[in-house]
Amino acid sequence: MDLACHFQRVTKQFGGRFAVRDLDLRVPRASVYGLLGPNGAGKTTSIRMLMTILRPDSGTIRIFGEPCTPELKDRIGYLPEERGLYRTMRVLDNLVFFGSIHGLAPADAKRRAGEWLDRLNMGRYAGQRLEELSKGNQQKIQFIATVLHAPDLLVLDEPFSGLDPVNQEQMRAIILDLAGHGTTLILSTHLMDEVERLCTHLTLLNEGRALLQGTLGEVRRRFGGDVVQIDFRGDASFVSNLPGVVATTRIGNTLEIRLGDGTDPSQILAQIAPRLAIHRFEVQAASVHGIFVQLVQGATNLEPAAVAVAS
Amino acid sequence: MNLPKVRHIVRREYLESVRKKSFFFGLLATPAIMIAMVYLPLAARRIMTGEELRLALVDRAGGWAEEFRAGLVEEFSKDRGSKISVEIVDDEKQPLSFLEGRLRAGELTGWILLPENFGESGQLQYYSETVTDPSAVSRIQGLASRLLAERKAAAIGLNSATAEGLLRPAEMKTFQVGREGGKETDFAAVYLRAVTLVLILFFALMPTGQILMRSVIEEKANRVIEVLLSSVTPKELMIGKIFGLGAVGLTLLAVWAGCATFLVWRSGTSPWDARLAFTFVLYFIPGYFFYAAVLASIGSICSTERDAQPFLTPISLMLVFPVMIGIMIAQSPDHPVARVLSFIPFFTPSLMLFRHAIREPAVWETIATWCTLVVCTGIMIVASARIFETGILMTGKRPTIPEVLRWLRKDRPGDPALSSEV
Repeated sequence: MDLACHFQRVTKQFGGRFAVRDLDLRVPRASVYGLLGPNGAGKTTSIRMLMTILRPDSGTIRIFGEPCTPELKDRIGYLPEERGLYRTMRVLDNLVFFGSIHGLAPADAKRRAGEWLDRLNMGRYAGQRLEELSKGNQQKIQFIATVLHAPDLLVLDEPFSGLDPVNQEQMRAIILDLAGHGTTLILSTHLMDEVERLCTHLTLLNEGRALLQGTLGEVRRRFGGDVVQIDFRGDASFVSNLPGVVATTRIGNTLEIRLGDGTDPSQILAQIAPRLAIHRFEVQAASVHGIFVQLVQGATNLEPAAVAVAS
Repeated sequence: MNLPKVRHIVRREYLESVRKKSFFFGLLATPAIMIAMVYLPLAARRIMTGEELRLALVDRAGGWAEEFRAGLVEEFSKDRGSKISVEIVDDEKQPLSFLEGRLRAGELTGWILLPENFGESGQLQYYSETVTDPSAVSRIQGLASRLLAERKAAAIGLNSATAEGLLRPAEMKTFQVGREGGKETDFAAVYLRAVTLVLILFFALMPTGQILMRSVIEEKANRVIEVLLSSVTPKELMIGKIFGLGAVGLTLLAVWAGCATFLVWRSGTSPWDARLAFTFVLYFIPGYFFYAAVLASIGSICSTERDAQPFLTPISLMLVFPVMIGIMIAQSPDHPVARVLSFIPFFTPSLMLFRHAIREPAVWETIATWCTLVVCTGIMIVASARIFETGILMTGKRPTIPEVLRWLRKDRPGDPALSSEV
C-alpha cells in the first residue's frame, strides 16, 4: 500500500510514563485519517513526533516512504492544537512569512494568500493586525497558513475547536475538497461525529496505545452490533435478558439496545412488540461515539491486539 | 541548514523590530537622551557665556573700581565668545535695591560689591541670578585675589615684575602618549570617551539582545513556536533570530555613526578616531553573537518575561562592568587584574574597548582576547542551540540551572513535556 505516513512501533516516554507505546500507524495516501482518543491518549504527542518536533524514544516514522527530512516537511501542513501566529503582524504578512518558510517564493505566497483569503471571505482583513481579528477569524487565518503551500499531507490537530457552526461547515467543506484533490489528511479530534462525517480511516488511541484501527466501515462492522432505539411505554426491564441483546441504556423514554453480532433487529422487535407500547423503533449503525465510549471504558480489560481489526 | 528559510526568519525579525515604534523611542532615543543630558548643560553654559555679561561694580572700599573693571574685561575677553561690559555704579545714586530691579528687568547679569574693608579682609560679594555659573564666579574670585596680592606686594616694596613672577599661577597641560606620539588632551576627556564608547556598545548590544530574548519568549507564549518548528529546525530559528537582530544592532550603530559624523562635521572639532572605530566594530561583532546566544537560550527556558528578569540585571552589569571599575582601569589600564578579566568573554568586548580608549594595549593582548572571545562565542552558540532546542518547547515552570546544564550533555533525558496534554 502507498503510505503517506507510517509509524512503526513508536514509543515515547515522558519522565517514565508512556505517552505513546508501540504505536503502529499506516496512513494511506489520499485518505482522511482520524486520530481519536480521550485527553492524554497520546494524539498530540504522536503528531509532534510526526512533525519531528519531538523525537521518538524508539521506533521509526516515515513520511511518503522516507524518514522525515526538512525538505519533506515542506510537503506537510501542520495546524497545532495550540494555535499561534504573530499577533502584532498584519494578516497578509503573517501568511506570506509562513508560506515562505514552507518553501514558497514570497510573491507566490502573497498571491496564494490573497486567493485563500477571498475564498474564506476574509479579504478585507488582509491589512489588519492579527490581534484585531476575532478568535474564530484568527483560526481561519491559521488554517490558511497551514494550507498555503499546498501540502500533500495535512495534519490538523482539533481543527474545529473554537469555530462556530457556520465556520465548522465551511471548514468541513474545505477539508473534503482538499481530500477530493488527493491531499492526505490526519485529523486529531475527539468530536466523534466529525470522524464519521469526514474520515475514511481511524485509529482510536488510549493511554498511548492503539485500541482500534481500520477503515470506518471495518470498524463499524467489527463493532457492528447494531443499535436499536425504541420509544415506548411500559416496563422494559426484561429487554436486557433477551437473547442477542448485549446491553441496554435508558435515556428518558428512549431505550438504546445494543445487539450482538448477527442478531436480526426484526427478531427483537417481534419479541418486545407484544409486551410494550412502542411509539418508535429505529435501527442505527454503530456510532463511533458508542464504540469510543464502550472501548475506552472497557479498555482496561482489553488487549490492544484483540481489537485491532485491520491495519 | 536551509539558508533560504533562515533568510526569511532574518528578514522577519529585522523588519518587525525596525518597524516598531519602540525601536525609535527605546533604541534611538535612549542614547539621544544620554547625550542630551551630558551636552545640554555644556551647551547651555556656552550659550550663556556667549551672551554679553553685563556687570555692575559697587566699590564701597574706594580706589578699586577702575583696576577691577580693567581686570574683568581682560579676564573675560580671553574667551573668544565672551563679551563683557562693566559699569561702575555709585552706591548713593543706585542703591542695591535699584540694582536688583535692573537685574530682574534683565539689564544686568549681576553686580559685584566690594565692601568698605575689602582691602584688609579680602571679602567681596557677587550677586547674580546664576551664581552657579562656575566660570564667572571663579574668574571674579581669581581676579580679586590677584588684585589684592598685587597691592600687598606693592605695599611691601616689590616691583611689579617681581610681583607678577611670584603671583603667576601654575598651569598644567596634560598629554596622552599613544603609539602615534604625544597628543595634547586631558584625562577627563579620555575617560569620558572610554565610558561613552562602552555605553554605546551597551546600547547597541543590550536592547537588541533583549528584543531577541523577548521574541523567543513571545513565540513560546503565543505558541507560534510549534508552527515554526513544523518547517524549520530550532537551530535555524535561533540562527535566523540572532542574525536578524544583529542586523538591527548594526542599523543602530550606522544611524549613530551617521549622527556622530554629522555632529563632528558641523562642530569641526576632533576628527574620527579610525583606530577606535575599528576596535569597536572588532569587538562588537563577536560580543553581539556571544550575548545574543546567551540571551536566546535564556529566552528559550523562560515562559514569561518575568521569568527572565532575574537574568537581565547581572548580564547588563557584566556588560558595563568596565565602567564600574573605570577609574581603576583608567589609572592603570595594564593592571594584571584588568588583563586577566579581559580574557573572560562576558567582559572582553567592553573591557578591551575601554582599555583601548584609555591606552592601546599590547597587540598580542588584542589578538589573544579577540581570539578567545571568538572561540568562546562559538562554544556558546553550540551550547545555546542545545538549550534552545530543548527549552523552546517547554512551558510552565522554568527549569533550574543544573537541569539546563544537564541538557548540554549528550545523554539528554527525554524531551520535556510540551503542555498539559502529552
